[in-house]
Amino acid sequence: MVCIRRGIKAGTALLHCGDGNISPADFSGLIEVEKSATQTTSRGIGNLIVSDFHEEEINS
Amino acid sequence: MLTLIKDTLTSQVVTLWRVFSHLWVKADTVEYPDVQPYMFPRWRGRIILSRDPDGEERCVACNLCAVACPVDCIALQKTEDEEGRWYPEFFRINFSRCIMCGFCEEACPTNAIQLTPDFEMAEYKRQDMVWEKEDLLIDGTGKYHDYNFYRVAGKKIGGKDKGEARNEAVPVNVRSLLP
Amino acid sequence: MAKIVIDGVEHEVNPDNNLLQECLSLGLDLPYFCWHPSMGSVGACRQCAVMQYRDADDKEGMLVMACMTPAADGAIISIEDEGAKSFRSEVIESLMTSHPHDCPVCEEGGECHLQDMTLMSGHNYRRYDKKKRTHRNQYLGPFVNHEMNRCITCYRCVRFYGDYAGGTDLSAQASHHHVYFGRHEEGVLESEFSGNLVEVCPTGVFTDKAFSENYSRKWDLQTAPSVCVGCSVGCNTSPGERYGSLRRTVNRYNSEVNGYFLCDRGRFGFDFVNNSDRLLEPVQRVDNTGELLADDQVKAFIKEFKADGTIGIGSPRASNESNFALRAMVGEENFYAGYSDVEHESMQVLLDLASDTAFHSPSVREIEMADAVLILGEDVTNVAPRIALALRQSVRNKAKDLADESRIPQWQDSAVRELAQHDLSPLSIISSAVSRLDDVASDRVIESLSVVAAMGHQIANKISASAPKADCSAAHDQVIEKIVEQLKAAKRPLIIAGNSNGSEVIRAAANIARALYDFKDNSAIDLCLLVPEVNSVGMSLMTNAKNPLGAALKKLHDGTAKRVIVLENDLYRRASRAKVDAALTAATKVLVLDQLPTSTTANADVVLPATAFSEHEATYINYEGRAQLSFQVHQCKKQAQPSWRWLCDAEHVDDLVERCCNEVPGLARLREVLPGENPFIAGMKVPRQSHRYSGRTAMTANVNVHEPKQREDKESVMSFSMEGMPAQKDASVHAASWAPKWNSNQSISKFQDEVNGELKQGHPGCLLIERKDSSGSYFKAGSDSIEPSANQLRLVFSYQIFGSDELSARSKPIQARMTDAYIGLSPQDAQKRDLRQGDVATISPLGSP
Repeated sequence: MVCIRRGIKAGTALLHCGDGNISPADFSGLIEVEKSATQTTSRGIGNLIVSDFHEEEINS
Repeated sequence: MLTLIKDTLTSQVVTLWRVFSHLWVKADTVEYPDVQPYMFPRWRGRIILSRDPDGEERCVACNLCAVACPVDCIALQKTEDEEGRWYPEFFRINFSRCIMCGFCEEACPTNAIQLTPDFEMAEYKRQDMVWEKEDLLIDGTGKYHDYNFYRVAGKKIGGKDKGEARNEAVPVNVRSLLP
Repeated sequence: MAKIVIDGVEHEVNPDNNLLQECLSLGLDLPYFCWHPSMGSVGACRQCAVMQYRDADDKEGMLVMACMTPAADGAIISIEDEGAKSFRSEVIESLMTSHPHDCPVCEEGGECHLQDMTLMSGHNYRRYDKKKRTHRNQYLGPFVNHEMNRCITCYRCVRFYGDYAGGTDLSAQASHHHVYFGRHEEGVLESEFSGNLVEVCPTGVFTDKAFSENYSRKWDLQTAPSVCVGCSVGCNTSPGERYGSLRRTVNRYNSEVNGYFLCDRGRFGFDFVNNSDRLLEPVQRVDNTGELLADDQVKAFIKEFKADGTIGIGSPRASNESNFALRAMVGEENFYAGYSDVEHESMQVLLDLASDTAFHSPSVREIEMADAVLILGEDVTNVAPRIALALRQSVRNKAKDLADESRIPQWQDSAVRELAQHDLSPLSIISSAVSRLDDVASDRVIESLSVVAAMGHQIANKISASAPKADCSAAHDQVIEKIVEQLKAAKRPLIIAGNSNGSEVIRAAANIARALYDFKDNSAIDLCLLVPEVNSVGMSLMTNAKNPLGAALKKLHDGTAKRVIVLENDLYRRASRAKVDAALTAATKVLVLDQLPTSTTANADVVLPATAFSEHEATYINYEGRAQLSFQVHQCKKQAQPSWRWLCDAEHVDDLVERCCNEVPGLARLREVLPGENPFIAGMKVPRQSHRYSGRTAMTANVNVHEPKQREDKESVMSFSMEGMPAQKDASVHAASWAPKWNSNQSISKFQDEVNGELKQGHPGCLLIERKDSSGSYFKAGSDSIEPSANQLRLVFSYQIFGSDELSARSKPIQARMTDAYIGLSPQDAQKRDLRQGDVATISPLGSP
């Protein structure tokens, strides 16, 4: 899931691992991000209103 | 001395006479169970759960009967239907502990739990004295015919919207500044 | 101290407080609604009216609102005066004119402040014969129910939600007796502290929705004093159980830690205990199917593990006792850390700093006292939410200073806020992304993590020249200058950092604090270092610095160690999949103890079920090194046991604590958290059930009409029944707050030394870590070795209040608020990769994992 916010430093990617199969221990330092072909999500990121991004969404 | 003898004799004769006279009097005891006694409506016997005049369960699972019970023989669990009406998921009375004190009936804010004149509750097995909601719930209003808690209380349930309970005004439009 | 006369009796009171607060501190019963011990007075409800007399000759007196009147020396007041009493009963009668007569179907019933106050004020019959105003309710999300008809317009909800917790989506609407408290439109309440509305609201407008689905009256809940296991703050809670399931969590007052409030993770995250996936039986894996194990088989297994060649991996989310039992079983040299190697490294830095006399680790209450705060690289709201709430109070210290200058008492909430307007104490945040505290931040810098650390070092250098310089671009000089001035000028500055993204920011934060220490002539500086889990600190105190998780996995992989015991831990969250897989495959036997199935339990040879926090007695150590005792609330169904019980022969938690004190140097004072023998009246235990607990002879009658013997608790000072003597003296065993006439949580004032003070003979926990080392020196500024190329991004881990904690993420109400895993990008980076909001993306690691 991609979440775009103005309040993130360019060149930095925030990773939240959720309760899925992504383990934080598999990543560190630098990463690459690409668009994925699959479109399966269960919860979406709609609930993020309460999380770390207290800023209006950008619908680009 | 003479008086004493006289009094004693009189008393004994009178007593004997009284006793023997009862041989021809009609008996006070009745041939239960062939003859059923008259039970007063407010006798505190078998506990039932009643329905309101609309035929719905009166019990709202508020737990007040359970907490009033001095022997703690009532256990129940609240649940709710889709439209907000509270009712008991289960309602259990352990009659082997019940002392028929009627505190539960007094505590009940909806007239749901009532004591009835039925006292014939003996069982051979103690386990059979544990009654569940299916055993307790009757089809009528019991002693109190008119009361329907949800018609008075301001909680919205199926078939009764906000503002439709007794003495309620229609819901406020919060966007309006009019009095 | 001032002397005042209340109903003819002279009392000593604190003149800085108002009359209501002092009356409650004295233990007198005076009804109130709008006043709240931590939110001060606004005088909205008029319920606390008392008669005040000019002097001894004044027989008439005048009505004053106790909450708006200072407890000035010489004041003569009367609570019992007939005029005051009738005024109060008329006030409540008018407040109740539209109350909806639905107590039996109200979740608040039985612990309702409105019920208590109505009774106390003597109102019992509705004389008003006009119609009741009604309101429509709103859907407010999975946590809180809304029933506006019950409102008495005390304004406490909006004062807490907006003024205290900084929420923006709950407001007072409409006018006169139509006043409505809700959102502008239906929807989820955004604030992460919304659950507190349940306790703040004096009646049943806001009630606990998750609790309502498994409802039970307060008096029917079996409760015990517990500690939240959601994060490292260690808030005190009272979980309640009924019919074998955990029903709810409410706040338990601790003057030093959580005060009156919890975050929503803490309040709604307990439900994993009831999860239907819970591990409840010992299972052995045979050809991919589970096989139940009998007692003697389990014993045989444990015996096998007691041989040489066994290593143990601890857990930051397991208790001290369980970690210690494992350590004692495998030996200190074979006990390994249960968190990632990055975290292990930063934990070592943190422990070094914890013994340094230059710093002080502030409690939550002390954080509220800070008058200049700098947050370095940490998202406090999502890592330690209760501390974020405390920070929101710290910025109000400016307002309080202004009030003092203008001689306005601090409890005059509305006046103080009016006076200060938007004047806040400085709070600066330097981190890689926006955070929830930005609205109260005086300065906010968004930079990549290495720049954040460099800026930290730079600030330290500007405060004290003996701190090392860092490579920092001149772009932020102005902000740095400003922050330096603010920290220097502050009476009680506070630096906050954490270990969610490595140790470099911790080093920078420590340098700033040390620089301030030098600047302020060696008075210890508040340095708050956050860790993610409930017992991260406890486990790290037991773990040898040379035993990180990576070493354990390597040992298993190369065959040096054959068997491994994993304590309540999902290793796949701690190290890369490849390494864990390799280690677990190479090991001949893997024994895992846990509460819920994880990827690690799926790869275990034997899984033993462990009890959850509410099912055992345990001690945990929070971020500041405060050890706290959490009691068992209820029994676990089936065969789960505390992990330590599987692993060792100890009879009792106390025995383990005792051994722990003797064998682990850092935990030498742990025994101080155990309740002593003295406080108990006639040696009686403290009941977990209230004196009104109902249904005792019917609860299990459907199974067997013969009631079982009340279960004995041989382990603790509490009993699993109504028998015993409720806590009156030792408040460390104060589970559910109740006092005669005070059924709601407001009864807490009866147990406090004074309002907002410590609990009487209270036990706010025990600070374990002694600071003796005064020879600490500055850290060198680290240099950023990895430079991203065009397509690469620097990774920063983002914590989420709902979802990042492993256990609470298995709780149903929390799941309703969780998000998918996501990658947060700036608009520029997203555009470069042709990504839009909500797209699914693949991420691939580049650096060494």
